[in-house]
Formats: sequence, structure tokens, C-alpha cells
Amino acid sequence: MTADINAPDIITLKIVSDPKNVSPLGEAINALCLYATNSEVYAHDIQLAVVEALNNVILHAYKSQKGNEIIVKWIQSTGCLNIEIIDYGISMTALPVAALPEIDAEGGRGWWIINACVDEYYYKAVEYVERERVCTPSSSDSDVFHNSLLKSSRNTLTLIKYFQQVA
Amino acid sequence: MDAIIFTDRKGQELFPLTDETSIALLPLAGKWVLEHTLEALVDAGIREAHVVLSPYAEQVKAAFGNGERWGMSLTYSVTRGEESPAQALEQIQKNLVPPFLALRGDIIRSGELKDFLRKAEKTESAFVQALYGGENAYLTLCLDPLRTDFNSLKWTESRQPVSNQSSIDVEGVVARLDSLKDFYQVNLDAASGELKTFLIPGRQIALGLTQGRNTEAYPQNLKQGIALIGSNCHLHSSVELSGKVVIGDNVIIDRRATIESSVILPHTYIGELVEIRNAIVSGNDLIRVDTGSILKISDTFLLADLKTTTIDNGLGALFNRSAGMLLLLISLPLWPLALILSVLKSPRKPYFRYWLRGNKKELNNFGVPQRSEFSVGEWNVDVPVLRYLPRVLAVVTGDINLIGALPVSLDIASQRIEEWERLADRAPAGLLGPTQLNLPADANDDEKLMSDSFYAANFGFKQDLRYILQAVKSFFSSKAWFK
Amino acid sequence: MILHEQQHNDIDIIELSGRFIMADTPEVRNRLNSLIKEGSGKLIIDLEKVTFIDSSACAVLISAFKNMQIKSGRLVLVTSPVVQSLIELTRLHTIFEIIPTLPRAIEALESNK
Repeated sequence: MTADINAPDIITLKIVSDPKNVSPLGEAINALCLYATNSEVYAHDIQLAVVEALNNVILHAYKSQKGNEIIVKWIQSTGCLNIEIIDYGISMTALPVAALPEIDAEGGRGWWIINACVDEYYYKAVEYVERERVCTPSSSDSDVFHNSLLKSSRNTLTLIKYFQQVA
Repeated sequence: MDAIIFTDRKGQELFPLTDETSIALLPLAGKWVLEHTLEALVDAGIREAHVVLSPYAEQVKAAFGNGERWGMSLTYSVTRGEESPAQALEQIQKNLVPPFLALRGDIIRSGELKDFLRKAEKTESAFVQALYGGENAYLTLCLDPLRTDFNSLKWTESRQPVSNQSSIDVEGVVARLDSLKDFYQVNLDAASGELKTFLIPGRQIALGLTQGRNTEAYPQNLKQGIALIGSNCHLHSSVELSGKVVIGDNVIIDRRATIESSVILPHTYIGELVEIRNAIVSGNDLIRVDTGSILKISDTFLLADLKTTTIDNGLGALFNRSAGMLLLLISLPLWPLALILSVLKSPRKPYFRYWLRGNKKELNNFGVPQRSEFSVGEWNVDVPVLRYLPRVLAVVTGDINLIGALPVSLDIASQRIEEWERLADRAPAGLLGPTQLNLPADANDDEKLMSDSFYAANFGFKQDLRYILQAVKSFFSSKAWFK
Repeated sequence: MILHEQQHNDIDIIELSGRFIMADTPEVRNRLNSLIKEGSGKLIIDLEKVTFIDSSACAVLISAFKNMQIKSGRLVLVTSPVVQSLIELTRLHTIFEIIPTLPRAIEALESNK
């Protein structure tokens, strides 16, 4: 894990996608949150939401492939924490519904937990697409695109938690 | 004295009411079921209680918190549900000092708890079970936990017998809430004051009519009988209530709806002209108590769950009709053009009329309210803008909205059977909308229905404004003028 | 994550401590599977010293629960507040038998109540 502090209220943490890196990052988030909010309950909730989000990235965005980059940005302002989890893997097409699965299902609880642990969250995917356009003399409709190819994407999940500022 | 409250019923008997919540949180005469038990404890001077929960435990904890609001101190634990009370007691991380009271919090009992305690404390047995009016009240005073038989507290489908040697009978009533019918009956009994120890919230505004805060209801709403209305409700002055009626919080009842001997659960909308008799209404479930049938109503014009849908969340009726008027004025120069083009294209039949389903409501032959038909004209031209020009008149008359789903005929509407197909019925019909603007006129019906369903699932004030902007843009596009 | 196994008469006890998250799931899953397969059908998973748990760890517990059901055995969990709160959040308390302390869990399994 590498950390760099590029502004007083922004701390950026970087790991590569490997389940064993989730723990230290979770602990780091916990410590940052405890420092900011002075609340163990908040620190635990945020750590849990971040860990669930990281699990998601590792399993679904990177399909359990190790060695891909995950960036966690800690942004603190008065009474509000924003945590951005950035990956360059496969984007989600829509946010999963925050609902519990069948009681004996083994997966599918992550979003329910994230939803319960933070106040707000949103997901942004920026996609870089390579597009090929073919124009021939016979076709008048030059607006038709052929063969769109997704080159890469940058996905950001932002978790937001509000708290009472400690003096 | 401590109390331990078992509230761990799984609630399958009260399905669909317990589909998304615990029995403890079902509304009963303006309060939650568990609240009635807490109030009885406070009345008897018991200020500390431990609550054993199972399904939707987190909801119950969030609702009752530390119990401060009831003047109590509450702690919680969870079980798998409907476990034997003795086993549940063992699992509790709390040292219960006898004597303590063990009781169920997911049934209803009305009687003098103080009376029972006074009598029970005089006995010398290890435990005393309570009977209210001769029935198991699911309440035991435990003096020696090791020698106490807790089985009478266990939740089973049939009533648990109470051993006679160690029980005391006091005056009162017990309702097990073991069926929808029982839940319904207790609500009506509580509202009419038959459960004597219950504290009913609200103030009486007319004889028999009690209402909570911020509620708008009128004395003339109550034709005869008794009505208990929760807080933040809105009843139109033409609504008629009769028999015994219990209405929960945040309920809206529209024009000329009639409700007789029914229980309306919180967050429900009851549409214009809807008639409800001997039923429980919960969101968009209509439960007939006499027949036991459960009807899911998908047309939000009739019944709606206000937690998931908001009625009239598009643009208001007044706005729609005035916008229609404005549109009609602007479009006046187009009418002669439409006439000329239609006569040129089909001199025999330049203009024809047919029927579509609109947004107004009327009673059908069976007395069931439904969306009424309206007659609309069409110019026989290919230019879409001109062809559908007469529909502007329907906006002015209020039959359709400015923005909405594509209006269809009653025939087509009646062919919509599947749940997803009926989703489109949640939205009002309109002159313009995503289907009218985005799909080609010759798109197949399924495609149009999908688009309308999408609109129904997402419509709202902002969306509608967006469609108005889009409509203005499309008016100047080639698509509006050439097929 | 530290795993510790012990036996008390015919009861298998597996004690987990520290953080129990996705990285630890393969190991715990294997150990639990073999314990259930070879054990007597009485298993206590002691999570009292677990300081952090996530949903993938819950999945391992569910899988153990299901395997134990197939074997008609009995699985008892001993939880810490952190574990208990996640179990309640995900409503898994409606399937797991949870007993507050290890001695009581042993007692319950011995008397088979």
C-alpha cells in the first residue's frame, strides 16, 4: 500500500487488487475515520462499507485477477467524509439493488451492507471507447457508427457519511 | 421489577402484512402492536424490559430505541424466531433477578396488569400465569426461574393451555393476532373503545370521529359509526366513512371514496370513487376479511402504496389544462392546414373519431371505479403533428395530461394481464411522453408498452419538464412533420 | 486471522480471532468443511475474539450451516458484538443458533437442548 498526501484534507491510498491488501487498507480507513469523527461506531461502519466495496472491485471489476490498481481517496470536509474507491476494471451498468438475497444464499449482501453503513453513495463510470466509422460512396447516412470497442474505463464509487464535527 | 418481552413470532399468519416488517410494528389503533404492551408495563410501574426479537429486528430496534419515549429502559436480543422461551432465556446475556415478568409483546391483551401483579405477589408458588377473561394472556410472573414453566408463553398455532394451579384470572381480553381476521377485529374493537385499558391517540373532532395531528378530515366524513384516523392524513370532504373504520398515519383518501368497517394501514392512497368494505388495505394489497381473498391492485389510480409511489407527482391538473389551452391557442394556425391536407389526401373521410381510455374516473356497471373513455378525433394525414392535433382538446378537457403514457383503448388496456404490462397503468395518459416522442409511430405494441412502463416507473415533475423541452425541440425536427 | 481448533468430548470447537474477511475465507472454508465432514455433528464456531467481519466471511458461515444441515448436525455460533451486529444487519440471526458464551454453548450442545 502506498499513501500520498496531496492536500490537507485529501489522502490517497493505493493498493493492487489482492484480497490480502484489503485488511491493511481497512485498518487505515478505520484509523482515519476514528481520528476525524471520534466515533468507533462510525469508524467501524465506514471500514465495513469500504471493505465491501473493495471486495466488489476485486471480485467483479477485476474478476479476481491480482495486480490491478485500486485507489482509495479520503476527502474530509466539515462534518462530512467522502471516500472514493476508484478502479479501472469492468464497469457496473447499474448500481445493484440494496436488498437482501434469500436467507441461505452465500453472496449478494454487499450492497445491503454498504447501503446501511453510509448515508449516501453514487457510482460514476468514465468509459474510453474506440469507435470505427465506415463511409462508403453509396451510403448517405454517415452518422452510423460501426464497431464500438471499449478500451478502458475509470469507475469511481463515492461513499458519503455525515458526522458531528468534534471540536 | 424487570420484564422480558418475547416478540419473536415469525408472522406467517399475518402475511402479507408481515411481508416487510415485524408483528411488533404492525399498526393497531394508532400505535404499534408492541407499544400497547410497553404502555401496560409502564402503567404497572415496570420501567425496565428486555425485548427478544427475530424477524426485522433492526426495524424494531430503530423504532423503539432505548425506550425513553415510553419512559422505559429497553435492551434487546435476537433469536431464530419462535424458539422455546426457556431456551431464549438461557441465551440472553442479562442477569434476570426474580421476581420478573415474562410476557409476549406480539399479541394484544387488555386488562389491569396491576390487578394481576397485586394478586400474584401474594402467592407462594414458583410462578404465576395470567389469564385475562379466562384466556391465556401469555404473561407469567416468575419468582423462581428454575421451577418456572415457561411453556405457556411459547408461540404455537393453537392456544397454549395454562395449568390451573398456578394461574390467576383477571378481567380483560386477549387477542392472539393469529389471523388477518383477528388483526382486523382487534383494530375495530380498539377503535370503538372495547379494549378498556388502551390509550387511543388523537382528539375527538366530532362524535365518534377521532383524529391525529396534522390530519385534515371533516365531521361530515363520518356517516355513522366510529372512525379513528391517524396523523398526517388527508380526507376529501366528500369521503364517506361508516361502521367502524381505522385509518393509519399518512393516508390520503380521494373524492367520493366510501369506506365501511375497514382497516387502512399507514402510507396508503385510496383513489376517487373507490369503495372498500370489510377489508384491510395495506399499500396496494386489498385484503377482504369476509372472504379471505388478497387482491394486489396495480392501478395506482385506485390504491397505492405511498411509500413506493406518489400520486400526482407529475404536473398538476390545473397546469395540465391551462397548458392544453395555451397549446390550443398556439396551434390554431395549424388546424386549417390539417383540414386542407386531410381533404386533399382522403376527401371522403378527412377526419374520424374513436375512443381511448383517459385519466378521469367513473363507476362501471358493477359499481367499480375505472378510468373512463373519451372520444378523440384524428386528421387523416401522414404528418404526425397534424394528425394528432385534436388530442390537444382532450388535454383541455382534462381527459389526458400534457405529459404521460400513450393513451390506449379500453380493449388494449384489458389485454394487459402480466404484472409488468400493468405497470404502465400506473402513469396517467398524456398527449406527449417518451413513447410519443421517441418511438416511431409504427413501433410494435410491445415496444410502446415497454416505453410506457419505463415512464410509469420513473415519472415525476422534473422528468415531465424534460419531456416538455424535448417536445419543443422535436416540434422543429423533421420527424414531427415527415413520417 | 488466527485459527485454533479444540475438542471437548465429542464437540468440535473452532476459535477464530482477529479480522475475518475475504482474504481468510479459503482457509476457514476448508477447515470448516473438513471439520464438518469428519466431525461428530456438533460444532461450535467461536467468534468472540473476531474484531472485524465482512459479508464474504458470513458466506463461509452460511456454507458451514448448510453443510451441517445436510449432516443433520448442530452448529452453534458464539459471537462478538461486531459479529453480532453484522449478523443482525443481514438478518442471519433467523437461521443461526447463537449463544453468548463458549461455556454456555458447550453446555447447550452437551445437554442437546
